[in-house]
Amino acid sequence: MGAGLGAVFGVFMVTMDAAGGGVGGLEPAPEKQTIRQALRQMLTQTRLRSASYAKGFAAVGALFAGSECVVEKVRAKHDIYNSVYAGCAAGAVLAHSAGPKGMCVGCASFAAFSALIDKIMEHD
Amino acid sequence: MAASKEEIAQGIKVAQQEMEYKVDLYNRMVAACFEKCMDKRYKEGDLNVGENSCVDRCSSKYWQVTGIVGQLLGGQQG
Repeated sequence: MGAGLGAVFGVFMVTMDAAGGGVGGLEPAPEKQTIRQALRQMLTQTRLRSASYAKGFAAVGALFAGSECVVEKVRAKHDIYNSVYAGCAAGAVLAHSAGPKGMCVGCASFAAFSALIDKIMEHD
Repeated sequence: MAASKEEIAQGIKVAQQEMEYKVDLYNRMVAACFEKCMDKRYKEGDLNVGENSCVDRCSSKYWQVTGIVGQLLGGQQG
């Protein structure tokens, strides 16, 4: 599911890039391309970008979901704190290159984000 | 080989008592673990991971307690 969401996000981002950048964003085409060539170029870029985004989102999703499952199994309770702890773990792992302070920030932000999402889903 | 009628009746009575005891134990265990582990909001029909884990641990502990208490009572009377 994370991979699917990542692919969709990648398509969205590339459309934004292509529409906004134009000559500046993509490789500057010396002579005017036909519409077909421009479309094909955009399509290749879309595919590459969305694949990369898909991998990223899939990794984050897997990390978060896996740690949430483990945390819930260990705690033997079903409440919102499972998401908080799992979000903290996922955020810390994602920010591991930024040192301990970065890890704390990543942990807090991801935990807050996932708690918010869970609250919204609960009210649903 | 033919057991006397009293022995058969006695055996049946003992088996009946044991069966009643087992059923009572089962019902109590289920009630206790349900009371302890289940979130009463019933948002969905399936057990989630936390509840599953809780019921697992609850029943295991209940069984161990039963065994220990049973040993104690058996030892006392014997």
